[in-house]
Amino acid sequence: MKLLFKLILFTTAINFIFANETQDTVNYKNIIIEAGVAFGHNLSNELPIEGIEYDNNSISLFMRILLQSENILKIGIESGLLPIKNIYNLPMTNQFGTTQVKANLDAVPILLLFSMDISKFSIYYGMGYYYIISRISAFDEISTSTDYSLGLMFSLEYNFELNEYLKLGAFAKLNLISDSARTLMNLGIKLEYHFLKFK
Amino acid sequence: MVKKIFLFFILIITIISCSNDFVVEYQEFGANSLLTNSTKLSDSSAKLIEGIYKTASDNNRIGEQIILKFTNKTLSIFCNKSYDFFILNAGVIDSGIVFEGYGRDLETNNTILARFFIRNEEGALDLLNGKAPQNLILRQELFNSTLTSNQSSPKSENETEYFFEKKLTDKRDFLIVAHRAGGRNSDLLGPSENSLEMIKFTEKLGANAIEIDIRLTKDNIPVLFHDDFISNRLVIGDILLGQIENYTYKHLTSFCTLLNDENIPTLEDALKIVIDSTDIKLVWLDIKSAEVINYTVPIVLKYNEIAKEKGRKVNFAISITSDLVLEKVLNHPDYSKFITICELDKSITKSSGSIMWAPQWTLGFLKNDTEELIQSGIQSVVWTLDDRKFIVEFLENSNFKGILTNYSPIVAYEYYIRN
Repeated sequence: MKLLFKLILFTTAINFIFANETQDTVNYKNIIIEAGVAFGHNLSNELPIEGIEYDNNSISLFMRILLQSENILKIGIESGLLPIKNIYNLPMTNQFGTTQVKANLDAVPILLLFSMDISKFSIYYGMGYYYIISRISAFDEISTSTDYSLGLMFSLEYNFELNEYLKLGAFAKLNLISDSARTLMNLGIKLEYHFLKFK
Repeated sequence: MVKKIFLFFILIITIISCSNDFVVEYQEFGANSLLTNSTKLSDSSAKLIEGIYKTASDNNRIGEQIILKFTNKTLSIFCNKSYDFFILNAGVIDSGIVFEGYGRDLETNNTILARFFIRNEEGALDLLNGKAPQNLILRQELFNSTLTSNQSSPKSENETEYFFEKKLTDKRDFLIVAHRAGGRNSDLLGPSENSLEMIKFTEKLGANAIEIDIRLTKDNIPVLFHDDFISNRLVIGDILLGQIENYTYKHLTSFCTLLNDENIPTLEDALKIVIDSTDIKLVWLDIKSAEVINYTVPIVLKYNEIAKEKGRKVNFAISITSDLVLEKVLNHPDYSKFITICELDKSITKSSGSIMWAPQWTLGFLKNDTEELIQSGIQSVVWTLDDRKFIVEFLENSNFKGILTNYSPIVAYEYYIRN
């Protein structure tokens, strides 16, 4: 929780420091749907367990729905699938014998999002929960477990406007799962669709 | 602008603010050890060394009186000043008997390198010949700096003389019950809480009984584990999360370890180690959920028999921690064959046939209640007492037969000094 507190204070302070003090507005409200795919890597510095090698690389997915109000800020929610680490059918030998191991640790983010556009860049800040799923298959046994963890998300994105409704973006995103101190870095592309404009 | 600058500095201070992660460094003599070419000290000589020692020196760092006690050829010294305990290896050299190891202050986490010795002419020769010396002097040296192999000789602070005063006695047959087998992970004692390594270590901290926490794995194997959820407070093993009850024992053992690289032990492993490798008198099984009872009782009965066959006097007591556990215990078909410790009220303790009552220390001395139970043949143990001042108050003013504590060295010191 100490890390989470520091990060909340950091991002709040950043927002205050760099927030635009002029009253930029647009004269309409907008609902935006975004979806993206990314190459993800688990940055967490974890102590190894003998005989186990995890794959910390993965493909992650996300989806967002946002409301853009009269000013340049957007608010919304984000979810998706973030694989954290995996073992894909590797042999393991220990005191119980030899077995083929399949193990997954995945997170489903459920985040409240805030976003701000600065020229062609967008900054996203999310806070909320990660629903974490653990599954192990080894020694002819399967164990599954789930838990919730508080966390944050930061993303910096660059957008290309394709037309009035569609934007294509590239992003660098950091997901921080606080209770277990896990950090995931994602680099990917997304599609943004402005599908409802109203005054 | 001023607001932005102010917030910027708040930001920097917050990011660089100190973490409260403690590290305790246990030093070693290494190449400077006098024990390298020493011979072993016999058990009979070690027993003669045990006792209460006193110094006349005002300039002492470990207290006016200290307690010496041996466990498996390791000397433990319990004290009450700058350090709470020392754990030392023993050996015999030409000039006498040497003890080397470390001391620890439980409150500040300070440690120190220490050497104690008994010169031949100050009692060592008599001890090595199996005789209690008329005058026995223990000399103490403390070393502040970490020794390296480059140092030709260690720099000691001062030398203090301690004179043997009297032998240790245990008139009350008192139970010094170590919490979580020895202490919590946050106490940084070395081994992890609820581990086999901690069970083997706990007597060196002064404990003669242990409390361990029992949970069930997915495949119904009772294991030692305290928390409701798996976290990095207790384990290293990132693919595991949630409740320990969601994982089979093989998965727990294969995919995580306790913090100091130990395996999560089964209850069977724990009871076996207690019988074979310790002199522990009581194992208090803290049952974390009622479902554990049905799988724990057969193991307890099995190891009761094994202990009996080996002539080992030890009690394995199942703790009644809730009404659900009480119901399970009372309805168990082998109810009359195992013993229980009751943490609920006094009347339930009597009606459940428990051998011991275990109230929280915050309820006070409970002199009338404990006296009433003693008349019924039921003893009482209080939990969990860690503050030296309160430990002393309970030792001096209550009828409790034991104290459950994270700080066994403190209880050991205060008990033996007063005994």
